[in-house]
Amino acid sequence: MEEIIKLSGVNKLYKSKNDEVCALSDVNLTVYRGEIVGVIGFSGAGKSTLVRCINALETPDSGNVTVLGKNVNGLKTADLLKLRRKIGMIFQGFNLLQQKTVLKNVAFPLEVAGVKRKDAAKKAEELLKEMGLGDKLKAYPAQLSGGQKQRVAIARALANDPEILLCDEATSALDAETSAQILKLLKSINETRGITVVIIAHQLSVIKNACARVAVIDGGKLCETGAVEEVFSNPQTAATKRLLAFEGEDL
Amino acid sequence: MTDLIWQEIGKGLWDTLYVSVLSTLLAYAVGLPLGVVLAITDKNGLKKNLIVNKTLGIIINILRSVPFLILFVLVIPFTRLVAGTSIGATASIVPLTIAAAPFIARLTETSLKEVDGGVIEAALACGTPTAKIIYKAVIPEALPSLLSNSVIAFVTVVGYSAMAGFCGGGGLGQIAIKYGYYNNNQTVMFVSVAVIVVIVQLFQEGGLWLARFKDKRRKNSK
Repeated sequence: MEEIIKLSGVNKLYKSKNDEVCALSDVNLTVYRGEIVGVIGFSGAGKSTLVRCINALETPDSGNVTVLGKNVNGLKTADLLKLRRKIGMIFQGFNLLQQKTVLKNVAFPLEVAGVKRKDAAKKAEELLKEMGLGDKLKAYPAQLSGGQKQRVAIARALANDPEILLCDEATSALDAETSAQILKLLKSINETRGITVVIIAHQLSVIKNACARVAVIDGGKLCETGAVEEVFSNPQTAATKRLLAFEGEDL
Repeated sequence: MTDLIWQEIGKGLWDTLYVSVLSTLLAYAVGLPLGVVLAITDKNGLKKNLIVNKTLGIIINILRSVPFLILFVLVIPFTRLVAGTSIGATASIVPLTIAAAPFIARLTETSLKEVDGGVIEAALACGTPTAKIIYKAVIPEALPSLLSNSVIAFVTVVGYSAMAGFCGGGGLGQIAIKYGYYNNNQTVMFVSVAVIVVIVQLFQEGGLWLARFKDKRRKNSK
């Protein structure tokens, strides 16, 4: 199996005037091409920092992050921009451009990558139709429901035909039903396009629903990694047990 | 009020509009880029650079603390250099621009910093170069706020231009002073001030309407 993402010995410390928070401590994680892997932990466990190290939105203090065979922290700006175009990302708060139409939002990553406006619009339209939003092209994000906004964000993340899709608490702001629909969509994207998906979540249900493999993070440390059924049916660490104890509750 | 005075007020209105609009535009040409620099070099900015940020911040603060009339007098040599004279409507564009640019830089900085960090993060994540993040994402997202602030800037410039009238800057301010104050003709003073009030009202309402119209964050945006 091809290693598409590899974090080895990654450390990250946030320093403020009189406080130090260890966001990541000696994190080792390998993600293989084509899989859907989950990273679960309580708030503040370091999940978001971990996923942001993958596309270099965060720079580790030490350790190596290799994505698609490239050391992400050793890249020249132009190469980093190219690499990021191969890594789609969706967020808890959707992060859509409020002043642009849905179509323009999805065309944005294409336009900044140098695709002609007309071609970008055409591709954006195709993607939105695929997401079931063919009738919302000219709508603005404020006019959409949460689920629709996240589907726009997914279309935007897919615009540059990425090889990896990062999902940072992508269903946390949605109700249970919409959340399940979005997870189903992510699974079908993984199957039909062969895109590797990394799902960050604090809810067990999300991971159980979508992922085959899971990594449990607690206090900046990856404490358990393995197949979802195995990790959750036979938890080895206190952190996993605590997560299981909260199952069904909104953390 | 004689026809002559009405003619003077007409010309004064034209001068005030021309001076205020042109000064605001020129001040934006300088202030907008400076506002962008202030916003992106901030400690949470896209291109954090505290030396640039603090230096520029101090210069802007100094310019903003100088009372306009003092600034007007201080820059007379520069005004002569640029406009050939320090008297008249056109010449007053120079000090007005110098006074308004730092104010506009601060207004722009505030507008740009209001933009949701998540939107910027999303733009970064899809491989957008810094310059494109600014002009394709941050500025369009801040547009309604930039427009509302441009009205504040314009109204401030109209106020300053009336002050400039006190030292030979032309426009309605000068007419109010010359006929109203020095010749004690209260009617002319009242009419001149009323015209200024109408200008301010029109631009304020028009600008805010435009800002609302351009804002797509409402459910019924067209």
